[in-house]
Amino acid sequence: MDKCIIVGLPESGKSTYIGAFWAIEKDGDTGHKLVCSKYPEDTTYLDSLKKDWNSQRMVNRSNQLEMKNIVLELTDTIENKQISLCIPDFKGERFSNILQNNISSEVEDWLSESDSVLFFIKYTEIDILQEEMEENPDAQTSTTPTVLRLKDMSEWSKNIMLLKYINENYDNIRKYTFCISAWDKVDQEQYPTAESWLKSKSPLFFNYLKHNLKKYSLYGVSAQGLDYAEYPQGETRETIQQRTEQFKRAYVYDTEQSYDITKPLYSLLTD
Amino acid sequence: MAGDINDVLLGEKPLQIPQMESAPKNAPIEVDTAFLYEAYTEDNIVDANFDINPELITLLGLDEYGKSTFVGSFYHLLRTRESFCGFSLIDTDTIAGFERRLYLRTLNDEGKSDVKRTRRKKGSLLNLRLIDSDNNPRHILLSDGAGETYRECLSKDSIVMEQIAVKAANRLLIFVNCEEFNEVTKPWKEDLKALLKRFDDNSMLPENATVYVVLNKFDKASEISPETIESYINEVKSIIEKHLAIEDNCIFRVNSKGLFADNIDEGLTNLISEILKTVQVNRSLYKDLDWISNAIKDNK
Repeated sequence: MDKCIIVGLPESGKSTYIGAFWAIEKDGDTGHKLVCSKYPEDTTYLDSLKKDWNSQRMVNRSNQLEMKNIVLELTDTIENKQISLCIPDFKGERFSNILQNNISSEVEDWLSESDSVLFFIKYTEIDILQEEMEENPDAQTSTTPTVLRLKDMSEWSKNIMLLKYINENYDNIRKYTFCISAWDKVDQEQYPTAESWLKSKSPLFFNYLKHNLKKYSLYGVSAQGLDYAEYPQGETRETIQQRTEQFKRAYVYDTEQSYDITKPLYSLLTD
Repeated sequence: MAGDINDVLLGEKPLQIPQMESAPKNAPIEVDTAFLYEAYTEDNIVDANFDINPELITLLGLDEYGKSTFVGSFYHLLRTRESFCGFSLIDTDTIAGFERRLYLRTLNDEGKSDVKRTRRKKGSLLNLRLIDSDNNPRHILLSDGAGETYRECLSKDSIVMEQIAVKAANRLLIFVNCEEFNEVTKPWKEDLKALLKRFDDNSMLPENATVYVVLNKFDKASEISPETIESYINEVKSIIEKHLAIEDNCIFRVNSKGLFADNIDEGLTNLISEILKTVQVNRSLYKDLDWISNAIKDNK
């Protein structure tokens, strides 16, 4: 069975996607490409994420529940191929620690045992320095702190560093699917494909994928389905609840929108 | 305190930023972390496994001459465009090194001096992997040595002898700080003469490099007349020509900070375009692919 690990820096949308995935796909009655073969032994953490998602509130990353390694076994409904989605028992901070040369043995073990990566990227319009430099090249913001911290780096640069580390050190990982989170914020008329958006927002990241990875897929993902702080015109909590029950709330996007949020994982099964 | 600073410069311990007077007593002290993909140092570049022999472009100039600003701008223009001057940036092994140089621009002078003290230990060699529109690869290695070190070269042969990246350069970018043109005493003139003479006397100038003169901060030479500026440029050219051959089309008037959204500085674009459009790899000195390692080993 192919093993896929979910990877991403903090606040990249992994937990929200997992919460939505569990809420929608756990009983396999959606008609989507992949179904859950069976429940994991302990779903306490998944149920907590699901509850937040169902309640139309931000998934609580910092809940005090003990995280455990979770493996979701998924089956392709047409060709009967199988893939396991591995959700490690650590938060995105472990991945950002890699960027500071602090690579834990747990992370190494997970990556060494995986065939593919579901890589989440936080939706980012523009990087920290780009705006400052282009609007006011002479801007000098502060004296303290003067050391470069991880949060001072552009989000895209951090993602390239993490991807580069995985790509260069784990030959066992043959396929990647990239998920840009909070896709509901993207103007889809201006960016008809996920690729066109990426090319515009981070040409370096796009060029890295194109020239350094053998196989990858790219999706926009709106796991929440909307921005909770600003409901779309005409939508209310009641209408969103209806969408939730009809499995028409969370969606993914590559060249078109789909409510089948298993598609990013399904692409890891196809050649 | 002096002992602490010496320990930092010698690499004995990391820099610890002193607490500000207004900071709470228990405020954490920031430590400069080493990230993945920092700039190469001359020690660890010998372990780099380059599949394509890089072209070495060395930036020569004193502190505050804008070398790192130029490097940051070069990187920024490439990273924010699918292609620039016909080339696409597809990878770099020194992304954190570039990010440090971009970050430097956001600090005022006091902040910069702290960062620069630690940056001297963080490495000065940064690489860019590019492809052109026909998918032909290019590999560039930029040497952005600390300006403070070059300032020490004004007075010490021993420091000059350590500047292998100058001697091995395929292209040499000599920076001049045009803001100093405003000063009647012409500090730029004596510094340039002394720097090049020391390097030449010690046979540390590159033998076959293409030389570029980067008249940086050109927009800041605002207090003198255009005629005076031109006469100063001729003086700069004369000084350099005593030691190195330069062509007229290799003198660039640049504002390295000129990254305005609608209007990138023309001099900056022209210089980068010139660097990218032709490959300069001298194979006469070192035949092996690992020529940088050999250059460093031979000099040790």
